[in-house]
Amino acid sequence: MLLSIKSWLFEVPSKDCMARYAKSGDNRYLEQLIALYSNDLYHYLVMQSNTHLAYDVSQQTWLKVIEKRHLYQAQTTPKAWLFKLARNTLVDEYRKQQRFVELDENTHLPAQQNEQGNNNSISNINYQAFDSALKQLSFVQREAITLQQEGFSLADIELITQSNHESVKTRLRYAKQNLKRLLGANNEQA
Amino acid sequence: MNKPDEQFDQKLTQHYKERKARTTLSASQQKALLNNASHKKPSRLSFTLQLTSLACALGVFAFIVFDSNEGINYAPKTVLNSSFKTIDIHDYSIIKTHEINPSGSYTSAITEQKHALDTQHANSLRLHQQRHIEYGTLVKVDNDWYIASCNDEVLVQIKQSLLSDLKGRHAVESNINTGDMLAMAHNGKGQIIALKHAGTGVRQCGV
Repeated sequence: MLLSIKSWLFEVPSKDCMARYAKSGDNRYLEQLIALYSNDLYHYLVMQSNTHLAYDVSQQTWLKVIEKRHLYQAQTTPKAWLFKLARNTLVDEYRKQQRFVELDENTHLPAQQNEQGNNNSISNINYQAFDSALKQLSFVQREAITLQQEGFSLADIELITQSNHESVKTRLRYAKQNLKRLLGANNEQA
Repeated sequence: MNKPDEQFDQKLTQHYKERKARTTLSASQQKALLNNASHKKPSRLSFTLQLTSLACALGVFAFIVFDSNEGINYAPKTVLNSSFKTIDIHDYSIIKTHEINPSGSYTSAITEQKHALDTQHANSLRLHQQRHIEYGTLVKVDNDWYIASCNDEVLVQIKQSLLSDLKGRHAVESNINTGDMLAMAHNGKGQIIALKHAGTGVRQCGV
């Protein structure tokens, strides 16, 4: 509430679309935001769920952008703020559906091949194998690697996932290790 | 970073780009998003309204609280000429207090102001006894005398017994008639010890 009042009273002009939209509520800026980020957001959500749920959550997220625009602070990047909204919406949706999401899971997947074997197979990875390996990662590991590939900094990933620095680094490290192991196995099977 | 790691990261990035290129919103989906967003009313106004409502509610609450405080006068009794109906706590001899005490149980208590009234009475009596001369008009004579006192609109009834006693001690001036302004002399105990004409200086109450 105090944050809302503060942003309501002390709005400062800004160049980013989100800040402009937050200040004016002008739909032109919202349309620009949708054009800029809707595909990125949708892809992240598909990575973390499925196409049907991703589109549904995507719609909900944009409605939340409208409702919560006064909470946006210009010091955060608009894309990170949008992803944070989307992530929270997705997690809420999972909870509504009583689907279990392990947000602290950081385990190694069992090695199915030795490291040498994995390294040798990396250059031959195909799309389906990679996709399948990604899907086998835990929610938070897949999320960390997706956000990194999306171009977010570690600080942004911390903000989006509401996790600390070490957790994010660990997730990224484990995600890559697990991917290598899984891809080695999948490639052998392919 | 060693060579296999670099190779792996490149492959990861390449795959991610490819996957992202394949996973996009269709034109109709993007249009639907835009339409939904455009037709949603901005909540800025509602937030402003919420703030305004909150301010109004606080204002009303403050008015009720302060108005209530003015309604009950806990200060010593004063002249109350306010246009508001004001309650003076000293007008009540008994106050019943009902409350939930800190332990959560209901308690009620009666605060008797008898001690305050006693004090007030003692003060009045002391003043009364210190008033050696009390003036009043003799309004009626039968067996008893009735004197309308100049103080507090008190009607003083002097019984035949006291009159006889005073007359016996020659403490009642002669030629006193109805309508005369009289002076009643009191002793230290507040008892009337003499009755006489008020004299030329006092013709009526307040003069």
